Amino acid sequence: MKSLCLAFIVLSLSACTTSVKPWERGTLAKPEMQWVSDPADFALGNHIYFSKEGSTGGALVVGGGCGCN
Amino acid sequence: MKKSKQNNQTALAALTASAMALPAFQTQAATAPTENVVSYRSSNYSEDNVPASSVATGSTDRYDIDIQQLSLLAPVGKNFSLKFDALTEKLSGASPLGTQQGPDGKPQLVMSGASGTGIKEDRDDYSAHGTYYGDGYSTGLTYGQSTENDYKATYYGVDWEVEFNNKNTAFQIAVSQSDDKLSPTDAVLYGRVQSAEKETQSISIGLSQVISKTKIIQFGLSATEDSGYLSDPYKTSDLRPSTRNRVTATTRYRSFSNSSNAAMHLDYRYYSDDWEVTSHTLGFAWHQNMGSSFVLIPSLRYYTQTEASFYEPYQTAGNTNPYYSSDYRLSPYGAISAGLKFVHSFQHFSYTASIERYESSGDYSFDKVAVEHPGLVNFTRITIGFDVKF
Repeated sequence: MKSLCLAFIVLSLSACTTSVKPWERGTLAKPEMQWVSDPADFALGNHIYFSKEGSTGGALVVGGGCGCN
Repeated sequence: MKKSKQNNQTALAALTASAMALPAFQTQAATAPTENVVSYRSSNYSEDNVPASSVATGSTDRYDIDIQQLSLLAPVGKNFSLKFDALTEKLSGASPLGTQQGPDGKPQLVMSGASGTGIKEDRDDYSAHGTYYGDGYSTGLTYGQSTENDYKATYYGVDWEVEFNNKNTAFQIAVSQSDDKLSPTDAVLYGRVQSAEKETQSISIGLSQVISKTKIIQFGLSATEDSGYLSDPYKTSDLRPSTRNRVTATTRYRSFSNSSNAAMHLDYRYYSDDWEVTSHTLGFAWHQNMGSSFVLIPSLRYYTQTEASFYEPYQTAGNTNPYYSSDYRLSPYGAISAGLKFVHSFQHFSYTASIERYESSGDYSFDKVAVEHPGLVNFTRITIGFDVKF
């Protein structure tokens, strides 16, 4: 199932994207364009959400056991 | 370190959640850092008090937590980097222990802190992450420990990223595990489990794609299994299944507007587990550059979840389900948070200040909520900090 999803995504993307050369990626390299622009703030926010909400995961940051229930 | 024996209903928690998330896919390219970066953040997290009308017994106070974070990112040669993160929390306040039916038929909270002294708890979390950068790929290892007086989590993971399609596409995979040990305080006195263990194993994959010179998107899937003692020993009559299987699907999109000199962040996560909790999370942030050294970042986040199959607002005599919990985190609700962040950079130094306001309610749920849990959290988080590159 995951393989099918991945194949679908790859095919979809290949149909609607253009190749961007390495020297054209200045904007993509800006700090504000990163997936996570402030890792410490992101990690703390996710720790709070995972300890206060009933679902977690997909946040993609390592964290430790919770200190607040 | 707890002040009160009577009110030791601590902070063990997050027993409804994993003790860890997944190793990070945080960059868009497998490129080694070239500068040392030291980051420091100091935050205060403060929950609103509970209305007295919602409390049957105990304190109306909720948690107040002071958090300090320090991290160091250091390149080692041309192909390695090391990152160390340290976090310490000091928590005080009170917490819901359970619920009971109130005079009007609605649930009321049984809170800790009935004797007037609240919970006091410390948590320390240290982790290290090493990354090797090859030609078009990177491989990372993570190890960390989180320690409280009644809870210890040891977590570790490996992540791998490879670029292809002229580096316009990247595939990521990460595998991680957490081994947690619980040792609740005053276990004999209150009939709690004296010691228990819990394991969490996760695998996640991601695919990021450059769409244009100013746009990039990422899709992710993850599967996680919790096993072991998943109940909360500090809550009354809390009994949960010994396994929990969770899946998520995420999408993240970044777009830069040259005319506005700003970047837009859109994040979405779908979550589902075999406790029948389903949730949707939508995040939006606007990174507005002002001149060359100031950035203002307003953000919004919406969250909605369904209830767990064994959740009840309060325990009733006719309940035949072998499992039961009245934890507000397993109840149906929605939450909205708004944030504002300011960053000022000059030369190799930058400082930041931010505020987030989070409010949850049955009214914010995507689905209609018949009975709202009285313990839903509203909080304010304030952070200041700085980063130095050298």
